[in-house]
Amino acid sequence: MTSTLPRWAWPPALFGALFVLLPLAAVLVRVDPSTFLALISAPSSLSALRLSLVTAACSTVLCLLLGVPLALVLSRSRIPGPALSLLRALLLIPLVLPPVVGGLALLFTVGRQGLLGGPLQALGLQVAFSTAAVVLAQTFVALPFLVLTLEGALRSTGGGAERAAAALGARPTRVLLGVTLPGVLPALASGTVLSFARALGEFGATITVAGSLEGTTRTLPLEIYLLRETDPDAAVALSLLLVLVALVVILLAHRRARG
Amino acid sequence: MSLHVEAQVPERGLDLALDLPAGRTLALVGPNGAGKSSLLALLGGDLRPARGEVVLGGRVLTSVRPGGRTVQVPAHARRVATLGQEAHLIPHLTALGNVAFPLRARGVPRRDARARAHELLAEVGAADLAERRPGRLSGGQQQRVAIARALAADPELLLLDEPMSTLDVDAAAEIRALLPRFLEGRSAVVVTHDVLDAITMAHDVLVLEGGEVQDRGPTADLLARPRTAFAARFAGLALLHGRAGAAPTAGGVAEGAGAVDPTGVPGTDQDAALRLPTGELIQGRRSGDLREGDPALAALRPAAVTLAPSTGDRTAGTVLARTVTGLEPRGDLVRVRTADLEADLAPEAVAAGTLRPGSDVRLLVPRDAVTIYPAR
Repeated sequence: MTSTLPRWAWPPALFGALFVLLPLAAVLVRVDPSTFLALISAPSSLSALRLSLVTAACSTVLCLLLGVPLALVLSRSRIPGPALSLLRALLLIPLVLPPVVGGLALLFTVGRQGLLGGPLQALGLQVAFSTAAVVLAQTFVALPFLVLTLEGALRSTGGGAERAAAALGARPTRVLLGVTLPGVLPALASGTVLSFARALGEFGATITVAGSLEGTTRTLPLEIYLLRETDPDAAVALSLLLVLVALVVILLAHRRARG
Repeated sequence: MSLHVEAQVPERGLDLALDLPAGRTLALVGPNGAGKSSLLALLGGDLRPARGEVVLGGRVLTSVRPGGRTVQVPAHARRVATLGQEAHLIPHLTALGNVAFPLRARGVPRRDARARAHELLAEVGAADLAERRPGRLSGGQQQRVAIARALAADPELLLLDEPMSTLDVDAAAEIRALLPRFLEGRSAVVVTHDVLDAITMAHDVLVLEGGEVQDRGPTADLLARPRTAFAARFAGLALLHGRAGAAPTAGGVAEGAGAVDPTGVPGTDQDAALRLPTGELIQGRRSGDLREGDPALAALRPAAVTLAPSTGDRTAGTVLARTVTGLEPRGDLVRVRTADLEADLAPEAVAAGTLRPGSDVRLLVPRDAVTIYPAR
């Protein structure tokens, strides 16, 4: 097949690829294979990794519970156009907000002096600087990824088949489970993986609203940041670990999206 | 189930009322934008009227009236199934799964639903497609599966929205052959642009124009005696407006301009005449009560019209002098348009280049090809 790709696109494209891959290679060459396993299996490292995986998983579940209905409402409800556009724009704010600002916003919400601080305290709940705050921060930044991916897919497919299914006697819940969601399964999968990856890498919002308490709120990115000065070798080893986890996640998403 | 509709939808310019007896099929025809889709949406529950009601077999599906409680039964509970231009099969289910879907939605156990779906697929001649997904079915095959699926839903009202319009000629013919059998005994509304569909499927035809019912009647009746320009075009007839003229005198020669009757056959009480606004009198066959001077219509097949020969023709009819306004191909004939009359002539007649827009033509309208009937 004849390609219409102009030849001049190649050099900047290659440069772009290098731009992404070279820093990763830099991490790779900086890692000392003989000490890698020892460094990443240090108790503090393992605890950070465990915390990261657990909180990211919780955040992903939260994203699904909140994000799927949100995407459905944004794509299928009869809210008038302008109101819907505004709602969508507002919901996507965390996507463009600096994470630190997101963290501050959360602190002003659930912190002791925050908007919900009083009621939460009355219930005996201390959210800020707890593991729950980590999950909150991660969900806050990761939710738009799921909503955006899923809503796009919902918009481009399914309306006709859904109306047909309804006319054939299927109640809304059956239409949702039997027609709508199966139709957007690839997007749902990639949205889930994307939000998991975003939650796993969360740093700014986490450190602001949850702090950095070992075993409670110090996730892998925070641990790497702290080790960066005191133990650069360990920081690099953990960085590689995070890169590997990210790689696995991306490959999974890619395969799902195709299949 | 008998259907009663009464609806006003001002934003779509729709204001109509119609009744459909149980088990009858109604062909819904009209130009684009006439309100056909809006009417279907009203029946299916996608559109709520500003005022009106939809009652199907005694069940109130929609009711909006001042002071009354508003009722709008949701699509899934209306028992109104649609067969549209697109089959809209569920992409991730096999053909069998699609046909079983409405059964499962009604709570039929999986095994029974699949068995029934197999039967229905066999009935539409798609038994061998059971395990295929919609993506691997042709347009015609998808519509077959969609028909089986609509039947599985056992609807009380079936809406057909031009289900053949996106199919190629052969596939459309196959679906066309299937449909009458499935409409048998069901109440159905069929939107179509094709007169053949109306003839083969519908007991009655309803002409919708500008959101209002312009005409309605038994199919054969309406096609033979159309009352609107659209209905005439739908039936493939040319329609002339005028007033009932004096019945032709014995001997058959009417006094109208250009009337000829070289056969000399005496006129009968089947004969009638229509006085055109131009003053000309056109001869034809009577259908219905005509009183001289009353508004009347004449319908005729353009293909029956010929060029008037200068001499020696034995056909009884009327010669009308007209100016050609346009020519267009019409199958293997050429349609000659004039201000009020259309004629489908053999290509030889216009081949000599004598006929072109602006040229004068003398057309012979055979008496037997013209039906004259009251305008109301």
